[in-house]
Amino acid sequence: MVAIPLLRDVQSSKDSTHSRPDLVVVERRRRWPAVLAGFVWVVVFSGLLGAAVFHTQLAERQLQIDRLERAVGQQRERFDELRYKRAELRSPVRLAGAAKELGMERGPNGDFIEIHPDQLARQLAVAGAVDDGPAHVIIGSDPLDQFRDVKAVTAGQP
Amino acid sequence: MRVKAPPPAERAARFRSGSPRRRLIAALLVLAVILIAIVVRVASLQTSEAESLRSAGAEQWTRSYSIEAPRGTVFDRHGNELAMSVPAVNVSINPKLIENGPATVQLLDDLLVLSDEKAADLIHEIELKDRGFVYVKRQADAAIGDQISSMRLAGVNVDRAGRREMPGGDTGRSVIGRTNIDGEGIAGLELQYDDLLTGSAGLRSREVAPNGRSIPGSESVTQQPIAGDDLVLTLDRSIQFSTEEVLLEKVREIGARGATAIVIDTPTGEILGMASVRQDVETGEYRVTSGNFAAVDAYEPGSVAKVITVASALSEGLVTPDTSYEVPWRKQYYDDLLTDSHEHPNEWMSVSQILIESSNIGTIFVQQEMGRALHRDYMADFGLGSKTALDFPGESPGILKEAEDLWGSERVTVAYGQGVSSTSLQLAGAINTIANGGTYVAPKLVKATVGPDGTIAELPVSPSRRVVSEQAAAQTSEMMRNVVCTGTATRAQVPGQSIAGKTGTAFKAADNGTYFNENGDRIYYASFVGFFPAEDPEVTVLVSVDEPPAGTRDRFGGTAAAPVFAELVPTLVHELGIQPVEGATGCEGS
Repeated sequence: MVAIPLLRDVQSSKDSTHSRPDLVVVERRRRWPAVLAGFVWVVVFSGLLGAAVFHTQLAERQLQIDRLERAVGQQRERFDELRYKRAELRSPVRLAGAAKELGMERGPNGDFIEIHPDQLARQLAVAGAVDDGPAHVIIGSDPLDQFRDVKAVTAGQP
Repeated sequence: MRVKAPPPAERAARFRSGSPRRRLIAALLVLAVILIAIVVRVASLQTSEAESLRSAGAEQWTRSYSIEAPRGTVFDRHGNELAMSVPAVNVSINPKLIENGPATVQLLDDLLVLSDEKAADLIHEIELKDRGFVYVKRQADAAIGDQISSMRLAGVNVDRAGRREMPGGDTGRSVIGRTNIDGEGIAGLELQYDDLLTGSAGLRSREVAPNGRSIPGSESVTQQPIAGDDLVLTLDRSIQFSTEEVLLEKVREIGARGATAIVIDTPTGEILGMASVRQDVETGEYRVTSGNFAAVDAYEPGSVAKVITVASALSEGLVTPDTSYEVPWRKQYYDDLLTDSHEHPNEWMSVSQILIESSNIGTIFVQQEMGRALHRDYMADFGLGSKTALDFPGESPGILKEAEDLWGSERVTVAYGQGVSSTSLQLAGAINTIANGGTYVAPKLVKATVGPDGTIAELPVSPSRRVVSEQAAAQTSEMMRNVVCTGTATRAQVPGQSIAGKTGTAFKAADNGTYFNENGDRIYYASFVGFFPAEDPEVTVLVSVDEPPAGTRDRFGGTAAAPVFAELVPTLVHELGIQPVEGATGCEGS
């Protein structure tokens, strides 16, 4: 079977042959925008990832700070409780009560006695220093000083 | 059927107004406008409206709670705690959120030991569900609070709060005073220094779910509380305790209504002990009072005031210790026949003898040498008639009338302490002037404060003024020494200690305006004020016994108050390390 082209098709074929543009060498497509975009994407992604990690770290540290603050608060409370117990134990009311239970009574009078230097030295070695006067032996744990030290560290915050 | 396309010119005309390019531009512009509007709105929300919106939002999902600042501690002069706040908790419920009322209340009752009435109240509140906040127990133990907290019971809140405690029991209660359940000072130094002791409250916020429950882990402290300042008093805890003990012992022994005592460090005016004990009307028990009657109650000082009269006349040079007067045992002044305490023949008495034997008539003679106005000025200089520098809450200024306002025999009885009234504090300060060589030193009770950063701020030294000459003070002191050795205060003697002092036995005005009670008995106020070592005084002590029994020998200053002084001296010697002055023999050889 032989195909007989239509007249119109023949005509259009002739026209297209004549209007076809000249072939040219196309320049190679530039890649730097893609590279730049990729780089930007990496930077942005890294930044976002970094921010997320940073915030996580921040939250974690904050939790740690909160835990520490709670611990400080608890220790401060414990300090106050122990301070109270010590004051109670050292109070004249308790000491007098305990002495009474042991059958001790207040002396009717007081007197001063000479202390041998050796005895004084032994006492100092055990209990601490003496103040300006010869009569007082001070135990080196002043409750007020201890309290002030703690208060100074916590700046008055409970 | 063949479809015929419109000719190109017609097609171009149909789509001219809506070319794709234009449509795109139009859409872009619309989008840009919308976007700009959104950006402007967002910017507005994030800037000018941000704060109000943020706070409005925060209000919806957060709840703020005040954090109580720890109240300052009250220390004695050696840093021992007299009053302090210990950790405690306030337990409360939100009845609207309680799921199982009876079970929750039963659990709280087991832990907090509630009264039946309180438990019933709570169940009632839970059933009503009217209120959002009801206290279960305030100032409960912190450990129990932690236990309740760990159970995470719906509608049960546990909040930290301090509880005021005195680790030494009642020691110093008269001076320190009290706080109420809210931790506010309502008496004594707790009231006077309330602003200082109370710190700045903090703020804690907590996020809550729509049903009102707290979101775990959402709690944060938005404002830290600052602890209150601490007070360092001049009181010595051991001296304070001993003073209270000897007073209690004495009033129990003789059955007096009460007693007060003040111990002053002579040169500085610092109060080492200030005690007040009284019998409870209902139970009959004697106890340390929370009222500081040594500063609040004013009474006629009686014969103790003779010291002021004599010292003033000596200082003016109007008399000497040897100036003598012929003294009758009674004498008419204005409408009253005034008498000495005992009958004696007219006798020549020196000024020394007048003070040692506590002659009322003799003291009037000495006062008349000065004149009433000058005498009144001296009494004011000694601190009578005005509040002391302590300015203690409720402190009485006493009564010291102007000379021209004195009426009838009052004009002369003020010479021996009648017609004038003073507090124990004023009187102790006045006699301390003699002990201090004639210089009045204002009493002082607070030595220093401790700030939030732990630094100590010392308070300035007490103001002082010369009242009588050093010589007059020394002469009066010598007379007072003889009062103890040979006069009316022999029961104040302590072996090995030279003590100077003066007794006073005054009549106390009753509520009915007379000096007699409902039984017709006189009401007495017995005092003794002394200092030692007499040669170089270190400590001044005043003891007053309120309403000693009228019908017994215990009603006098020499029998009721002077023995308390003697009882206290060994403790003072021990605590203050007071060594006898070399060569001093007390009253031996007097």
